[in-house]
Amino acid sequence: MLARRARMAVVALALVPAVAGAQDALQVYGYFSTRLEKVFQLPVANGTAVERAASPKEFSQPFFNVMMQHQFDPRFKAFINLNGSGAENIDVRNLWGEWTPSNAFNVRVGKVYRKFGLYNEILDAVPTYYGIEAPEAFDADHLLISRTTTAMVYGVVRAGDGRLSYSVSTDNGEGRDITGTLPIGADVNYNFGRGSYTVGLSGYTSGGATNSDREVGDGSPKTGVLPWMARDSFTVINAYSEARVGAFTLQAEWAQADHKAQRDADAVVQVVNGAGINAAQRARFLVNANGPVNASNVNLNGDHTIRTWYVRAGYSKETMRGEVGPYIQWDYYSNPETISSKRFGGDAEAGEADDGAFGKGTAGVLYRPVPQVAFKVDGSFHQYKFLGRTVRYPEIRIDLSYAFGL
Amino acid sequence: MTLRALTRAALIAVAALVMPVFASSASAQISVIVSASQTKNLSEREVAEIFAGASTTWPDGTKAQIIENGDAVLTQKFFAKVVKKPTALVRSQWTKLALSGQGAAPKKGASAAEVKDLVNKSAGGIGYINTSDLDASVREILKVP
Repeated sequence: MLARRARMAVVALALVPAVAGAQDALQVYGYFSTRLEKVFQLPVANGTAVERAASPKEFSQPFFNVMMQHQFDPRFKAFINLNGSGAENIDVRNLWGEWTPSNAFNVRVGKVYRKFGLYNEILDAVPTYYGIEAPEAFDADHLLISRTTTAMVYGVVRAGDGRLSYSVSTDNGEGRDITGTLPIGADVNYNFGRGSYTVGLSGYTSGGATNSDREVGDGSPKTGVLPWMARDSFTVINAYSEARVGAFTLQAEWAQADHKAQRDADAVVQVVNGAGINAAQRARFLVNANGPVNASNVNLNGDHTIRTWYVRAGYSKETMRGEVGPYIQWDYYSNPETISSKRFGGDAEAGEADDGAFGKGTAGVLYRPVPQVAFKVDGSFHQYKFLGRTVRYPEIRIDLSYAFGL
Repeated sequence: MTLRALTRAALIAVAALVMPVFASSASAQISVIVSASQTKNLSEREVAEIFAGASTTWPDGTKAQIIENGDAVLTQKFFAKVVKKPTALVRSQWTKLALSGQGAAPKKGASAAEVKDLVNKSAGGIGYINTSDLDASVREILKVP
């Protein structure tokens, strides 16, 4: 079904020039990528003792991202972003059309990555940024909000020495519509110093009570609502800054999501019985942690606050044999409501921690022998509280990508 | 040959070697060009913002189409003087914009003639060439010393 939809989208975009009288040829480009990840000495519980376990390495099948865009009129543009690892496994990440009457007012409609923070729009541009993993705020296992929206108005105006950008977006909401919600996302940022500095603020409100796009047992949600919530009204605020000075790139971002939520008693019973939760999570989910696991013992108050922040720094050194770019990163993420089981909609990192919080330090290097090829290798150590102790474990990653048409 | 004659000969030889270098540096100005039919102008700051990837449009909203010059030395000099960033970082920013759909994928002209041709053929096209390659087929909007 998805593959068929993707093929139809490609054909539709390819036909646009013929219909509209092309000014420029259709641009087709993208990249192939593959990745290896390996965790060492993963802490596991044996009663109240912490033991270490071997973890299998994860080698991702080479996948592709193919982008097509066509500026078929100075005011109209179309864009498609397809991702997949085979013909039967194609994901239409973006499919939108854009109308640009002026710089100050643009309308984008379709499946659109919303403007939110520094990374949401560029998460598929992995070969171009420092680091292999996205910042925790955009980790697919614990998204703060859905990445895409269906309608977005945005623009930019000159203000003083720089440029002031804004965007407002709305869509159908996070999960199944409960109360006729009107979700609103917004972003405002100021870019100055000939494009070198950016400071910005993003926000989102669910516009009423909603729920998750996934049932308990169906994996991690693609939205900001956990699967065991009956209803959840939430807001997200995100502040960010970036400096690109000379060969240095420095980034910092902070986000907080406040959820006013009510748990679904039956879903919580499934989680408590089947997801292997820890003592802190059990105490959170049940009125009496030592009592029976049934709907009447479920604590329905699911209010919780998620906080995350990161700082990233990279340096670009051009050598006779290509670009070398060392980088360092520190990520922090805290979500007391999540659990470790991904299958039940949790997050393997935060959910393992006693308090749902972890930090992650990363150091790595990017090597680009030619502009089209990016080879990255980095190592992280994860740190969190586990069975009352502070534990750490290391992880290494290798990523190789080849861009074409660029 | 006296010592004075030797010194004079050496000075002349050094001058002969050095002068072309100075002459070359003096003439190696860069022109930022647009299509001859393009009537709008850009300030130096706006040119820098477009090539830095901070802006993807002309002031009137027309999408900017960057035409990269295949001359690596010229490109490095242009980025250092106007964008004030290493070539690899600038290219990476262009790629980021293209992969996210925010900007058009840059086009590349292998020679000055090709850059001029692409600038004329591309809506919103903007490129850079050695000033010595400038002719009436394109319009210069900024000269970079």
